[in-house]
Amino acid sequence: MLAASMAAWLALAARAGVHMHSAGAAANWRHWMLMVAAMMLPLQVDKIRLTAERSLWSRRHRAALEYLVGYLSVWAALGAPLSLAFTLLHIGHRVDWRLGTAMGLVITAAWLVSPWKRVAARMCHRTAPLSAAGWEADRDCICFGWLSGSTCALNCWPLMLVCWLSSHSFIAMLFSFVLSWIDRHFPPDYARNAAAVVVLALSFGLAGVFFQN
Amino acid sequence: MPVLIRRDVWKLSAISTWEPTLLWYAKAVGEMSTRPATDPTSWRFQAGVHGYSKSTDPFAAAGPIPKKAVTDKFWTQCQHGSWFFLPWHRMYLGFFEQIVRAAVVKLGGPADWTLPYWNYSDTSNPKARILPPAFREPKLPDGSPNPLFVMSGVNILRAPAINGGNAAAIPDRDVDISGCLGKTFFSPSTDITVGDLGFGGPATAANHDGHFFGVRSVESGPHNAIHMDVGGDQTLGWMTDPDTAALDPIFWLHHANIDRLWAVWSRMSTSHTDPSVPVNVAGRGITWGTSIKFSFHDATGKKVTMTPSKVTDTRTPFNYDYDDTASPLPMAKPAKATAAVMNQAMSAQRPEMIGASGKKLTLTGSPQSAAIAIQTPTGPAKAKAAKAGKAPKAAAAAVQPVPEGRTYLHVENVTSRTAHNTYEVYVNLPENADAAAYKEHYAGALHLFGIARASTRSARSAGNGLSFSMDITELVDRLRQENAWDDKNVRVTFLPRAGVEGAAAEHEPIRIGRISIYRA
Repeated sequence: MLAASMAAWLALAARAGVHMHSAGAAANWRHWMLMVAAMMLPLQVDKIRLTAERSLWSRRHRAALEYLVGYLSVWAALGAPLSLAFTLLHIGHRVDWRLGTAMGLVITAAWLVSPWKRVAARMCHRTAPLSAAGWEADRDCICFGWLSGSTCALNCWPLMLVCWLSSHSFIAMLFSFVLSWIDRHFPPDYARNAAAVVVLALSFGLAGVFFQN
Repeated sequence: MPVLIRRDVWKLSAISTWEPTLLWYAKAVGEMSTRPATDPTSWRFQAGVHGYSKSTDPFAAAGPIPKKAVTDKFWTQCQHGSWFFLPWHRMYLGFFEQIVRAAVVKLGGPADWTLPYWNYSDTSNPKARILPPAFREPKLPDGSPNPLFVMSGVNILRAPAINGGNAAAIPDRDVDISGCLGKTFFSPSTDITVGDLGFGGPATAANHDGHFFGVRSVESGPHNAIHMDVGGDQTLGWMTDPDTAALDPIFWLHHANIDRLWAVWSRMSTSHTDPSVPVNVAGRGITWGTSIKFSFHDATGKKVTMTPSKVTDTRTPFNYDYDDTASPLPMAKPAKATAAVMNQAMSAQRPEMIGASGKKLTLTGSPQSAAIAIQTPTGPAKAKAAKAGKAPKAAAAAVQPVPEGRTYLHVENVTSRTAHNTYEVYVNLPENADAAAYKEHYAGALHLFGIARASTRSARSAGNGLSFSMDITELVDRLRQENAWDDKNVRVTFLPRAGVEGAAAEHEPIRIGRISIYRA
């Protein structure tokens, strides 16, 4: 899982100089999925392990794979209209990536201090009973992945918005990944995190104002 | 100052119903219940620290609660289904005792007042399972209302049989402490939630809404069992819900006993140590003793924070001990080094799932069964069995002891927003059989303390409900001897527990997500 994420990061790094606002919707969607693989897969290690451990030993790999199919399907489905909108609305042409990042971060900060964020964060811990064998087991693993993808999207949507508004800037992605990692792996202090995100937004905003081409 | 001793409430009650310790407790409870809920030393504030919900607050109309910033930090903090269950409640009781003692002194009582404990497991006392009389009397000796029975004009809601002094309201099985005291380690050294969850519960981050219970850990039995028995299956008694439990003055004596059992277990063997190794919990390395700080108020109303490492000994910082911490279990003492290695090996075991029920089960008051097809282990459980079988036992034990294989029954995602009836679980119980004639098939009970909150999606709960892990290794061995065990199929039966008044009643649905068998 971590290897897949690392490979995705390398691919993204290799394309860091490519301007996505010139690309078509399909290319944008592929970039979106690469971004999901890089940023989200490392956060799913525990859920994948849980799925494998709650399955028969003989089908643990299959269960993990099915979980991933369900999980990634959510992001793929979300990415399709967003990629189309990105292309049709010419977001990349209209919004400087630094200002786009700043806008996304301001929305992220507002989300962090909202009461819905706490509920959404808790929903990431949802589990689902899994059948042991047969097509029911396949269905349950895919559904569990879909459930996790949905709750993950609900929790992390502002960070993905940052990436989207920044025209998939590699720097914005890195910051978003670090924020999502902190959100998941450190005791939640949403007010402190929101304050840090506001500072970050201001930095990007100022850079956007003073340095845009 | 000499160490203060917490005493058995029944030994105090044997002197008189209103032995001074109990009378002063009643008076202090009365005094604290007159204070506004915004006062950290008030009865309502202290109860809110455990849990609070406006919808279940019997005193919601009695005055405002503290501001949100205060309730966010200090209320609804109790730790359940977690290795923090014992230390958090020790801190909670320690500060509470100081607050009550200050109220006792203010009323003219002794400065060395201590909280009694309710030892319902005392087999030498035939009255042990009866609610002590001071908690059943409507009036104090001076004729005023007894705050241990009626609080601020509201009757404390308990099961009628409990308030009626009926010992049968708490079945023998619920006060059996041989399971928890027989545990050889405090908590697993990994983040497992299935299998042997030790004496003190699974390794978690701060965990208000408990989800995973080892049926033989101290939190499940006797803790959860007594909560549900005192509150009642049919009654929405205060003790049945974490949000109202601490409003009932008996809550504190119940928890003093749970705290005492921790001291008993710790002193049983030098290999019974508190967790010291960090455990990776969802990507975070959590050290039991130091990673998480909990917040309370002391007797002066001052904010205090504390970590579990500060409360491993009852004598510091709260300066108390119990009048009896002798183990009621005869315990063979294994060689120290072997025990330590064995405990470490057992605490790290990750069990392998070998079968699960195909569909969900709904309980509404009648017996329900589920059939489970099981397989021979093919993964780590098989490898372990092979390892254990390879070398001669004596030689293997001398080098690296391998724990015997264990079998676990796991009841997952038990949810209900309204019902909390207790169910007893049997393995391979013949259809329509009288369970009383099949005691050897009994696996354990589902005590659903906190199920409503655990089943509700909110900022504090994912709504997964409760899950129970039952060690059925000895049960399987017994059934094998009786030719009542099949290596391919297992039948699990859930029987509603009949109350003292008679048959089990129908109730709102309790849903079970999955029943599975694990082997380690």
